[in-house]
Amino acid sequence: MTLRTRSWLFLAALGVAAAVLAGILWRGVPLQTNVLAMLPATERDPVAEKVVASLGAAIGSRVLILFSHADEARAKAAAEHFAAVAGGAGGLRGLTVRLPEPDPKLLHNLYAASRFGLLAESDREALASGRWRARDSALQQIVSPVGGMAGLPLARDPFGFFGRWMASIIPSAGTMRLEDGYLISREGGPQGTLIRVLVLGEVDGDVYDNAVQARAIAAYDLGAQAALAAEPGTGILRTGTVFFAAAARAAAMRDMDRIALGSILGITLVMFAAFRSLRPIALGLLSAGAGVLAATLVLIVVDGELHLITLAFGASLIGEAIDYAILFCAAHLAAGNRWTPEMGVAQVRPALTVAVATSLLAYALLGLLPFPGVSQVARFALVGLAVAWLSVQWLLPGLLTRPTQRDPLAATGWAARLLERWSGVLSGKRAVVIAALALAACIPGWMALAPNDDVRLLVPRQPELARQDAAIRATTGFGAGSRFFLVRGASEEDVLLKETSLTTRLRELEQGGALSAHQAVSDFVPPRAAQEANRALVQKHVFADRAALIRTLTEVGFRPAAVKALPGEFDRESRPVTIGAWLASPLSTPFRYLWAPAGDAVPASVVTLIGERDAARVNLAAEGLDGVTLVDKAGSVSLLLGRYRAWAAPGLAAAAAMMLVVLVLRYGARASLAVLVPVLLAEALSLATFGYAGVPVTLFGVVGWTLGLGIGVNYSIFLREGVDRPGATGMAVLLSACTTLLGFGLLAFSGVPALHHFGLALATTIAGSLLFAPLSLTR
Amino acid sequence: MKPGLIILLSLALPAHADELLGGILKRLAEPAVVRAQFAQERRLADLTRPTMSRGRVTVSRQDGVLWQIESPVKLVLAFTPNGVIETGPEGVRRSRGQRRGALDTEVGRLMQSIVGADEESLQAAFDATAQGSPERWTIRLTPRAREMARFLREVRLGGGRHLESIEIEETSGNSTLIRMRQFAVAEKLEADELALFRLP
Repeated sequence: MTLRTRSWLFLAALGVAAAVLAGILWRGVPLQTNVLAMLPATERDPVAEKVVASLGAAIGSRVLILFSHADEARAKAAAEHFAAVAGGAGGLRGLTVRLPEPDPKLLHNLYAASRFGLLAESDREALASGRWRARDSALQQIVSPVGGMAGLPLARDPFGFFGRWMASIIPSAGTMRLEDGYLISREGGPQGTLIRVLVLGEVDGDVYDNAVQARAIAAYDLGAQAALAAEPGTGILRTGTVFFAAAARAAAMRDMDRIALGSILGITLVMFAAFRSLRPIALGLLSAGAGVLAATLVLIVVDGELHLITLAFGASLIGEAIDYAILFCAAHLAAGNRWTPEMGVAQVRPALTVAVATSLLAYALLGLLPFPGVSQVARFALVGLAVAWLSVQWLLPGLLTRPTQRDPLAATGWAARLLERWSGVLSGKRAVVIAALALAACIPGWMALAPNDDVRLLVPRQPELARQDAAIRATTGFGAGSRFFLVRGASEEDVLLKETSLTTRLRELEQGGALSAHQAVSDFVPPRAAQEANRALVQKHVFADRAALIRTLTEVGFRPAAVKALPGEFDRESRPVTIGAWLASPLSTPFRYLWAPAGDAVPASVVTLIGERDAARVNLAAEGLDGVTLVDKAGSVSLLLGRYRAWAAPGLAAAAAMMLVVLVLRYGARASLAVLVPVLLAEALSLATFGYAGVPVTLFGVVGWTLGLGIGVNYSIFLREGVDRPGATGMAVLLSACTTLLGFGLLAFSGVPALHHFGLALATTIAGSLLFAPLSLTR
Repeated sequence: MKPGLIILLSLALPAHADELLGGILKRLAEPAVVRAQFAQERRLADLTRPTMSRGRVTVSRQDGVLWQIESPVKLVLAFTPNGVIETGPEGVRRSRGQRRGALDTEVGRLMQSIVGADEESLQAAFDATAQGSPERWTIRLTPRAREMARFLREVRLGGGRHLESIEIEETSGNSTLIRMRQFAVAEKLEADELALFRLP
């Protein structure tokens, strides 16, 4: 097979791959923006993991939008306009401005037959203490100006037991109140009272699905525009997972655009300045493009989707893949009119192969990390670099057959002189002194290093959205955090009993201010045992002597006919309220996700927390309670991130050791150490940079250092292998470092903290490796 | 028509209703704390006779309304924007609502806005019409929101310098008449009164 045929075959294969990829992308970009999806399962317990997912879906699809205006009618009209337009646009469903008038019968149907077993905490305590007196209690209801005002008629609930229990289960909505079906808050401000109207809704579909996200955001935008056009001056606040996810996606896309554009522009300029020809750039981009194309295609086919982090990383992989082509083109330039492609391949193959072997080894190490996201990044790099390496040997030779017209000495002489001069500076004793001084300067930086494993670093919350979210939480009291209690038991009743031991403690925390509120099914459906105990209390202290009861009630003024039926009702209405009845009632709709979150087969429930102010005390609430566990996905992921980060130093050492094996095989023991020293010095400097800049050490910085190790060692390898062609190799190394810095280094400016840490670690390591690379020539 | 007659006619007309209402409520809101004696007569559908109760009422602009019933049973109700706090005859206290029950929060707000004649919350919750003169007036309140209209039909307030009478008509047929007298104005609440507003 001739060089040309092989090139054409390679090109044809690339064409087919591009067509297949285009076909896949035509149906929508399978881009995963859910950061949690790149994290491993943290809970050892599959039930907890399942509950995390189902709760995420139940809460994640919600949207809350708050309309504010000084004029009540205008605030309401803005909300109505929004709901009409956004609801009509599709993408958001169930947009509710005005709650339907609740049917008072619903409460009655669910609870009336069980009411003697339902007691508020204070009434249960009063009855149990024995201090409760029927006469005083009835009189208090009668003389209180609001006694019996809302609820059952006084004759049916003469002591107010049921009324107080009902009051205790109606969830509070922060400063919002229900007025004519509208959820409204009125708050005084510097410009007078501001009326806020809440609109509730849901995203129509999976909030992490691109198309769903785009439709929901478009619907919101249309609705908000319509509301503002109809009622100018309306303030609109929004919150919901969909808004954060869409903003994160947009930021990542912007980053990617900017970084990819910056990479390509910068690389083109640098390459043109060095080669005075567009051909090496075209070849470089072709080679890198082949790698990125193959990696994208393979991962989409294998994984079904690409994570946005992988995509951003892929954009910068151009920087490393292009190094191989640069080495080839520099050899072409340096060979002058003696060039043949076969000779070129033979010249660069040893250096390329050692470089690829060390890089692949470093990436493979990353691929072993059990983070789906990191592993995808590593596999992307493995495929991309392998294909780029193949393309230099099979594709480029056929496209670069003619020798250059330029004088090789004039074209590469500057690089040879630069390398010579820099090697001169970094040689002998002086090299040792410089290295020692550099390391000494690092020490304060190292001392200042501080780790941070907070998983929230992964999720760049757009500050404006976070502000709106906080404002809505403050007004509505809605918004459950990512922490919740999972309660499991042998049966329905067992779960409810365990829940009440938990909620008793939570109530204490609420009194103490560590927590604002919680949501638990047992608040709506107390355990049967508790209902029976309450009923027994009421039987003992209220209905034991029925004649005396009727006498007391008539003495305080009740008509005998009105209260005569009470004992009969107590006897008849003795059926405890059950989970089944509650689930069947429309009243449970907003809370149904709390029950059986892992499916009906597993008796379990979830207790969500609202307004946590003292996480440490909340953590203790489950202490010693059998079957109750605190599930804190973000917390356990952070813990895991920390554990992996802690493995960083031994991991880096292991990677360096593996590289050393490859290097020793090629260069022997002493020389291979010289090849490794520059990159190790660079890593030391990079670490110190993090310390000085106050950038926390995260797993993502560690990933950057690992990759930097793989890339940085290449420069030493290139120099070592090309020692007899200093012009070509000096130029190749310089260009490689520049392009890598332009590729990866730009990630240091990313707004996504994870990419920022990664980019900064890599850029500083690369820069250091370049500066110290001539040390590898030391004999 | 002669201009003089128009002037005469316009003088004869009562002050504009909104102005009257605003003026009354502003004047009621002037003192920081008002204390008075009250006598309440509740007529309940299920009771054979009206129930009388007596006690002291303290209205604080800042904290809410303290309703201290002295007979026929001792009971203190503190109506605050966040709910109702009860203090029983033996000092037994219970918070109704507060953080949780929104229903009691509503009742607490309602009583605070009625007894405290708080302009802003009254205007938000009720359609209000005033009659009479700033010296002797009545205000009729009808609930605006259907949630409140379900149990409350109408509230009538009457008074002069101070709020002297409150009549509450519930949809159930129950009605309450409260008369207040012996008003005393103060700068701030006493410490023991303040304690009754604090959560148990």
